Amino acid sequence: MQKLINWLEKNIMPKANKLATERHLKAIRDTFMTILPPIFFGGIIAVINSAPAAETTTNGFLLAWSNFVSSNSVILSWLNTVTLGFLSLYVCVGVTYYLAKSYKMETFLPTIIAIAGYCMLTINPTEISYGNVLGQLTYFDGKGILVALFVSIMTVELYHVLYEHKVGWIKMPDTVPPALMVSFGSLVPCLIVLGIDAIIFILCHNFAGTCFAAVVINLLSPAVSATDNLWFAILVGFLLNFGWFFGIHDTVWSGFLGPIEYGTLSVNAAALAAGTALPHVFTVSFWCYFGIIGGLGNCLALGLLCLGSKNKEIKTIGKLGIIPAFFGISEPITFGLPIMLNPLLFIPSILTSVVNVTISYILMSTNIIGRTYAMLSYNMPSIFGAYLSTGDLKAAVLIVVLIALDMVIYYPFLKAHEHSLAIAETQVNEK
Amino acid sequence: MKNVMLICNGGMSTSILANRMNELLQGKYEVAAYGEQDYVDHLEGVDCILIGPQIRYLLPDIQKMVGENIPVESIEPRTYGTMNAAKVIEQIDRMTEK
Repeated sequence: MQKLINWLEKNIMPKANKLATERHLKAIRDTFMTILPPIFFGGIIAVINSAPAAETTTNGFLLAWSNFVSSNSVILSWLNTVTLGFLSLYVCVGVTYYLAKSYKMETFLPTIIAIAGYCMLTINPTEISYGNVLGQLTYFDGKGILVALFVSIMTVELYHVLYEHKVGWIKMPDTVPPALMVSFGSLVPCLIVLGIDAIIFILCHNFAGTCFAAVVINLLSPAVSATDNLWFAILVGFLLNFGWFFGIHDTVWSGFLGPIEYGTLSVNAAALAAGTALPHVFTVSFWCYFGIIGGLGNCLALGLLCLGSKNKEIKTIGKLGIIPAFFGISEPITFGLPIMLNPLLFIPSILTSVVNVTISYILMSTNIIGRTYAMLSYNMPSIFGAYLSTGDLKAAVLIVVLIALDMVIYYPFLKAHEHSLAIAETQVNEK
Repeated sequence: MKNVMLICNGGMSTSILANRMNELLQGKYEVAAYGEQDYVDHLEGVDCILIGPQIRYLLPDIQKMVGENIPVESIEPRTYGTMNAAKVIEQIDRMTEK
């Protein structure tokens, strides 16, 4: 077993490194790590906007709340839409910025031409006249996320190549100030990038009568729906916890996972603002509040069990780790107990997430429990996060049930770990 | 006084450790925790870097980024998990001696 673990460790670390340092994935990852404030703002607005149904209540506070919401629904919905609902636009800006920065390029110009490109490819204008510009912003939410990634990566890569090869550097006499040369040097790459955006826009506008984003979604809708089903959720539950068993933080995956889980969340938020049914179950808040309660490895349940352990060492870890775990930080328990590379805890550390995800997914897809439309913070305790992100009190109850279930799953394995520690101790004493 | 930087994924769990170390150190070193996205912006005056085991796969890149002169090591997982500040300080003593 130890040999196998050593072998895996030796082979997995370089792969994790590659995944974490790949330029484009890192730019996407950094974007999602830093984009949280507007998402948080949109989340708070969504929470305010989702007052519980007031027909049956006589509670004065709830009545006042729902009256406030219904008389301000346009304001609240718009505030939610421009933050959480415009996610793809911000992702486009973020990835452009971080990718350009990774090439040590100038960031301002690529960022604004990426915004222009993004608008060309996601908005199909319906009317443009004096003082009146109309077009739909539907694809600014998570639906446009693939276009956002396409535009940002295309912009930076092309700009970078053209700039490096000095395409468009017009030769000028020595008396011309060098700064002017640089401005010419960036002019031509900008024109070429915008030109490509324009050609795509024109083709879609003339032949499909719609915007590029709509065309992409029609083509890729099977692939998109493949990321929101039970099997995908289970796969995520398995993979991220499998990595964590080796002590590899789950941000390694977020270059892939971020666009998917934030995209679905943003689409849900837009649906909520529009007053229609929420289409997606698997979102970032679904994963973070329901899939991993107390951080990766579901360390809240495990921490609670540790607190009740008779083994002094395990109990100390429980005391040390329980409060961080409550806030979704599982490092102390994972590395202290440890879960990491501990064959005895391998199965439950993965199984708990798979069970949590499966139960939550089924309950949400059958609409027994509300779906998620807000993301507040990774460190928001699951029990609050689950309630606030769904507006459904039953979700908080579900969290309690899942914690209890996770404890049942962990119990025999923790006992075995306790036992192995006791044996090791007596062996040391005998020597 | 030497400046020690701790790096982890978001600067969250290393900040727990940094607090414990600063309490214990009484000013012998100054310990600060950062996330791996922005540690680069805070490198000035740093003498020694320790990274959390959950991002130990980034060690070669971080070493490359900061250059040969600043020692970079990862914290042993059990030490990290038990937030054993004293043991981490020993590690720093050893790293900065050279």
